[in-house]
Amino acid sequence: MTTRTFLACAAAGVAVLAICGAAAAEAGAPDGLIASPEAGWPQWRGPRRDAVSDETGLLEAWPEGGPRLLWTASGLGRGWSSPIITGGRIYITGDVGGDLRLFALDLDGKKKWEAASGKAWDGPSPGARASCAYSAGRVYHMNAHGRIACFDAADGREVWAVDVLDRFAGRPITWGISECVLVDGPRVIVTPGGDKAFMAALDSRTGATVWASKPLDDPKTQRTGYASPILLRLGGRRVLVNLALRGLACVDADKGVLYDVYPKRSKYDASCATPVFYRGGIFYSLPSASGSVLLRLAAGADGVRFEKAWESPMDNLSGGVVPHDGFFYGSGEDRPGWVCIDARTGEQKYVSKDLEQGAVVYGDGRLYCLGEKGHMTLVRPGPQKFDIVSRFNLTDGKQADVWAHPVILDRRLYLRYHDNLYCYDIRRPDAAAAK
Amino acid sequence: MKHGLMALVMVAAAAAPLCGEDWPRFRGPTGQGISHETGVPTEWSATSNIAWKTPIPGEGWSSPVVSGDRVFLTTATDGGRSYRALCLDRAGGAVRWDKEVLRQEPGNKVDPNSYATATPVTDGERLYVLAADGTLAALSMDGEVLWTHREFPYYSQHGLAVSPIVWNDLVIVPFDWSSPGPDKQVGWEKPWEKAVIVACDKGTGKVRWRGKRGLSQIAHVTPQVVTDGGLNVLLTAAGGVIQGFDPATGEQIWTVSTPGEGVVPSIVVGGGMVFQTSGFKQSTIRAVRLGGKGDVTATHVAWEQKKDVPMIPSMLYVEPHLFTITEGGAAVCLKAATGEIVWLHRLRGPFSASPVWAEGRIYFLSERGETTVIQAGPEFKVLATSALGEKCCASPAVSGGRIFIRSDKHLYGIGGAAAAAKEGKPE
Repeated sequence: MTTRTFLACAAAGVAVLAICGAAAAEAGAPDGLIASPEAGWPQWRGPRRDAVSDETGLLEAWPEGGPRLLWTASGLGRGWSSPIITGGRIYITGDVGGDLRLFALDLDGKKKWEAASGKAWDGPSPGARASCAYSAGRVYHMNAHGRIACFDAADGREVWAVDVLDRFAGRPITWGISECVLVDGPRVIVTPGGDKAFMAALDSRTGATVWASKPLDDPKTQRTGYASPILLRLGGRRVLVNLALRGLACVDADKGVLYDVYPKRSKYDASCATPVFYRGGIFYSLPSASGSVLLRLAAGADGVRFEKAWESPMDNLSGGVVPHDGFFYGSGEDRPGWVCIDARTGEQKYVSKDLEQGAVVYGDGRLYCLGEKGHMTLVRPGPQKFDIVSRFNLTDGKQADVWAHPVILDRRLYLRYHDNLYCYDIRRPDAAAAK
Repeated sequence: MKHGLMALVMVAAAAAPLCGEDWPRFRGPTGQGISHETGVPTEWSATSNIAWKTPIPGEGWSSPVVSGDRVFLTTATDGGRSYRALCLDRAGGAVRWDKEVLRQEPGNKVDPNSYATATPVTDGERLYVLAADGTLAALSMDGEVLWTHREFPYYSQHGLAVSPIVWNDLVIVPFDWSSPGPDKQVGWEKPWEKAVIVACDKGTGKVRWRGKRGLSQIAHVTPQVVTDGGLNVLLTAAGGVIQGFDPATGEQIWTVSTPGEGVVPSIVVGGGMVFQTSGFKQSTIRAVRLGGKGDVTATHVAWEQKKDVPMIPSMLYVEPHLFTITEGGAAVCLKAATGEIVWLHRLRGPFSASPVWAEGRIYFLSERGETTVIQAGPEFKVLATSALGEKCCASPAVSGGRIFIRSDKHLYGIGGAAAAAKEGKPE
């Protein structure tokens, strides 16, 4: 081949590349979590549901007593739901009186509207549970009894509501339904764990059923857990992964085909922490000394299968786990301590008792670990040690029920403890104005 | 890290069922030259134990692959212009189809190379082929071209020799090419940043991701996806680098410096390590422990060995040993854990084909068409020597109790049929 003909081929190649590139944007994306197209922190655990903030310019350490408190919003009732924030609005729920209330606040913490969605949860550990999800001018939420409702984000007007336990023949669970529904474009994903569907997609405009997956084979396994689904692309498919009461299930997000179930139960059937996708595998953890497992996702011609890679002792209750740079970070319940787990091997690099169990999110080179007794800590990640850089007390430390997860957005840290939502300034002073 | 080192490294493809084992890609089901078959022939000649022998038109040093009752092969006729795929009947060797996949410009290459060197890969649904001009194509099992991916305008000082692999729904090809000019030493003698690993959707040929090496040099190394504990890792190498990528996204996880260029032997793994040669200039075998992050040259190179390093034939890992053969015929057995040489014996070369292991035996096929079968172990012992009398550069395939060997003129189906063996020469 002469240089000239080669260059001609190369030029043709570039033209083809440009065409392929456009098509690749829709069909050819690599494997990984599928982010919400909405700005901000529009759903539980952030844009990808991985509890990872992409922001930079955050404080590397806090002053004594914590970062500057900008405001506190009160009157949010009793609840563990975390805020979601998008389009200049904060949406958060709480139980007030006998009702589940949904609040819309502005970014100064002022209430703009509130709405009701059925009954409060007065069973074990009373209080509101699930976070909201925002999509295209609508706010979606499911209450502790399985009532999913869609609200107009502008004024809180209820657009539609469905009782998913009723529709899909599901049953209540001991500690109340806690699933943070996932909005997948024109569909809202719910996990009723019922005789008529393990998982289902509802039309986001009307609440009508779009697809309903098969129930799981074992009726006890297939009842819904307390966790929330994640959406990811794998081998050209879009798949949903969520916990059942006694197993982990993988469902095709477009067709509702149930691909695989991995059975694993915890002592009291409390499957709570949202599963974590990291480099081709799903990590999840169950409390009561039930341990953690990493399942590789194998995509084949006929679907997706789980293959167990390793188990690890950590038994996370509800605070979740964050993957970062080859390690998983989270805390155990009956095997207490903050743990760093090697994603290759499942080996625990350390177990630290420097903080009680709690929730964790990641942002700008730090872990934000909120202990259930209200100890808020900033931790430098790494396999050597649980390296607490700064800490302050959110509560008086008498109650072990600070369970809402921290949220990071626009260099602000949001912490919720029942009636109050606290907003802190965590912008690094020298950080550029633009993110 | 004690436990980390002990993490099982499993070749992803090994999880596939092994019954009636196919040989779906370069170096077989695991990409490691290992067959799990039994009843594999040990001895033959041009006239004995040959089940069938089928003339193959054109020129090509790609190796045969086997899926079910089909054997696939690529070749180039018309001076390299017609890039072709053939399907033969495994039992009798009859050509089921022989189709032109595409027309290609016979570009630059060195003499030992051909215009059909990339071994095809099949997932049982399609056959994926890589032409000498860098075009990747998918064929139906009946030879119908389903898609072609011509995005990459390949040029190399050596011509193309890497083989594609399939992982999940991706076809993965490293393009460790070199500059077509004006300075042709760029990418070849001089490192550059234009090497790219391309992963295409196997159903459509559309690009899913492109992986970047950073600075590297020309190579023809067939990669390997393995499971390293909870993580999948795509192991690849080129001139100057051995690297691990996330096979789902193409993100580079770690890299090790290994000076050299023109690297040909494919990736071999075992015992938590990847073994790789460094090509020309400073020929060295390096063993790199898996599980690194970033540049782990200082921390993860377990050992180096500079004596009798193969440039063309791939190495063979059979726990606890690594077996190698140089082009000139130095057969070496090393301790895989340390790189220490256990034995070294000279066979009659030259050698291009990569060795194959079956039933405790290792098959070294020379360019003279002579196969030396030895026992795989710490003592060197020749079990048999068999000559076909034709030039052989492609690597043997093993499937269904038969060995498939490509010469410059024929594809041979060897052994595996007692009746045929007795008759000596079925037609």
